[in-house]
Amino acid sequence: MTTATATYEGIKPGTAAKHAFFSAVVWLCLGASFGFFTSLRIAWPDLLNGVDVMGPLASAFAFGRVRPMHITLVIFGWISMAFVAAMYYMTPALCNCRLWSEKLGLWNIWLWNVGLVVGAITLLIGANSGREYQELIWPIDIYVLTLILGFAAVNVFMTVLQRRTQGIYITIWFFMGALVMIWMTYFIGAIPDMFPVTGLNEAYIVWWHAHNVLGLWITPVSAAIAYYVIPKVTGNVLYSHKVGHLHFWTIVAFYSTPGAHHLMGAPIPEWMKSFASVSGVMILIPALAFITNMVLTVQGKWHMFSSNVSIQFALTGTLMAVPLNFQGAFQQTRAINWYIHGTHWIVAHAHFALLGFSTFIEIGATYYAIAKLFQRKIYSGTLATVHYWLTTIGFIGFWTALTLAGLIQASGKVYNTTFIDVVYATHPYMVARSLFGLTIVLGQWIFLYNLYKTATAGEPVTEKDAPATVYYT
Amino acid sequence: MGGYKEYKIGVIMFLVIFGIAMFMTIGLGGIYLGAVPATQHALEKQVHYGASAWSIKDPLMKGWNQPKIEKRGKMVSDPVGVGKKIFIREGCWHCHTLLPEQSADWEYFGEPPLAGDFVGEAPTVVGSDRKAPDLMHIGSRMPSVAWHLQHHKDPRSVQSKSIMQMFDFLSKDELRALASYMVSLK
Repeated sequence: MTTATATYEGIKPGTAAKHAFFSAVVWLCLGASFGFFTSLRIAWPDLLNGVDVMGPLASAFAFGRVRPMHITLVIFGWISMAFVAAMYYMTPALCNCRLWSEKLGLWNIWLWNVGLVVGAITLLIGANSGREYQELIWPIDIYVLTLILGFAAVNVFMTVLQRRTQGIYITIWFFMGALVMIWMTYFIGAIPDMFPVTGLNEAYIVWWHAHNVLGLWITPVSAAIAYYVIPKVTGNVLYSHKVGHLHFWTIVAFYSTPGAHHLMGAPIPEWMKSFASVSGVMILIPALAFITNMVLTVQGKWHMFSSNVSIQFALTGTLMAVPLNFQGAFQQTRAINWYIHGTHWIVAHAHFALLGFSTFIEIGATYYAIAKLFQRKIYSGTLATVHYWLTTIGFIGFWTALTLAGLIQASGKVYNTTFIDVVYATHPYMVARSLFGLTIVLGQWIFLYNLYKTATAGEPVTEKDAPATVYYT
Repeated sequence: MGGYKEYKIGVIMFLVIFGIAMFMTIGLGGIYLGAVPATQHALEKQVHYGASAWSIKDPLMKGWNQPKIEKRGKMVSDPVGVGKKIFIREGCWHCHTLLPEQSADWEYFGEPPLAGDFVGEAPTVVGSDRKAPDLMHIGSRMPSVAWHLQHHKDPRSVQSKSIMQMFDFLSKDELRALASYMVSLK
């Protein structure tokens, strides 16, 4: 057994994961705040007009420039970085070894932070590739593929290669598979930026990429994190490894194909739409396999829902996957898609996946990992509870407001109503969305404060591997 | 290191399944879509803008590398092409689609495009979110440049219930270019 001990000189194991978790939460707070800002511009478009201080910044803080920044910071700042943070924490833990290189991990996270700052600036000055979910310009795409995703993948794969366990746990399959799949997805998504791919091919690649960032990266890695956190914290053994197999292989087979269902209204060939639609419904197989496995793993430990903050968040996220996947699987079939496509319903659904499902599981993992990494109790259980309820109530209100607004828009679209009347009719819902959005944003800043205090002033835990319930006071 | 034989089988299975999925979607779909012939409409669009994505030759998305036309004896960037660039830069496509859907849309916003109408155009910015009217045929619905100029500067002066933000920070030339692009969308 060879271990690359040389790379650890002077760096404590877990340092890269600590930096990654804190950076990710900072991006969460910023990304969510920018999202709140854009929601204000929709509810009150004249909000900042005539304010002198805006002067030269008016263009940089225009709706069309802040919105892509919200998306980029939340997906590539918070979610993806929290994923890599979880990988840096969980891969060594599950492989019973150290992270291959803490130094590479630290470089990875700080180059990532630099990349996000540069990316945010380019978006604010208007350098935008014009492709949703792939807004960064191609020099930054190359940076992302090499120094961000490339470094993370090398570190995780090398850690697995030097593992000191016989088997490989399901979480690690997902980490490794997803790192390969996101690299391919991001690369293919960046092709129209670098090469002359035009017309419907370009439109199709945009939506293939946008779909697969969710399907081959965000969904599987969120699930992988739940596969670690829920058995670990409850102390139960994973209900079924075989159901886990079913989950993994159906994700690879079915989740990479439904990209065309985003273009049901475009003149792409019918076979592509049908193929996408059918495989879109098949997404229910991995989704239900995952949910079943998790819910049965918690058997006998449901009381921890109210006593452990990690379980509270991770299980809420897992249970949100039930309505999320049923909504997602059926809204992309032609009949429903025809009705709700292009409305706020879709915006609600996107937040369901990224906030309701993915973010909740990652927050659970963050509470758990930060307490473990710093060997301290979470600073304030009260603040954690406040964070939970602000996020949960905020999200449910937010989703309801947007879904109702979407249904109004859909009926307006189908019954040929004067367009501006529909815009006017959705205004109260946009105001409600902003208020619930503010609730969510407040919750995340409390989260950051609580984590900061945990790291600096949390009560130290001396036992090396104390039961997880200790961390929630 | 060690490892089981199953891992090798697993890696091969992963690559085969993922490969088939990629071939079915990107491969077959790409070949099919790439073979669509350009329509007259697509050729007209290519003359004005064609590929208008971000480029090193135009880092601030001002339209410096768009096709040139002659104006008062000088070669300048085609205002329609510059307008398209501004449309991308300002993220207009986050709220406006360029694709009437199969619904009452076809009566309200006009005919849907043909597959060949997009050939040579990148980014296509067809949009996904319909917070605002579809613009595929805005030039036919609203052919007045003056209306567009006023609307972009102060949307609520022409439509009191509009939720579009003011684009009063754009320069005069940029507003003109954007209006030319709008009017060109017949």
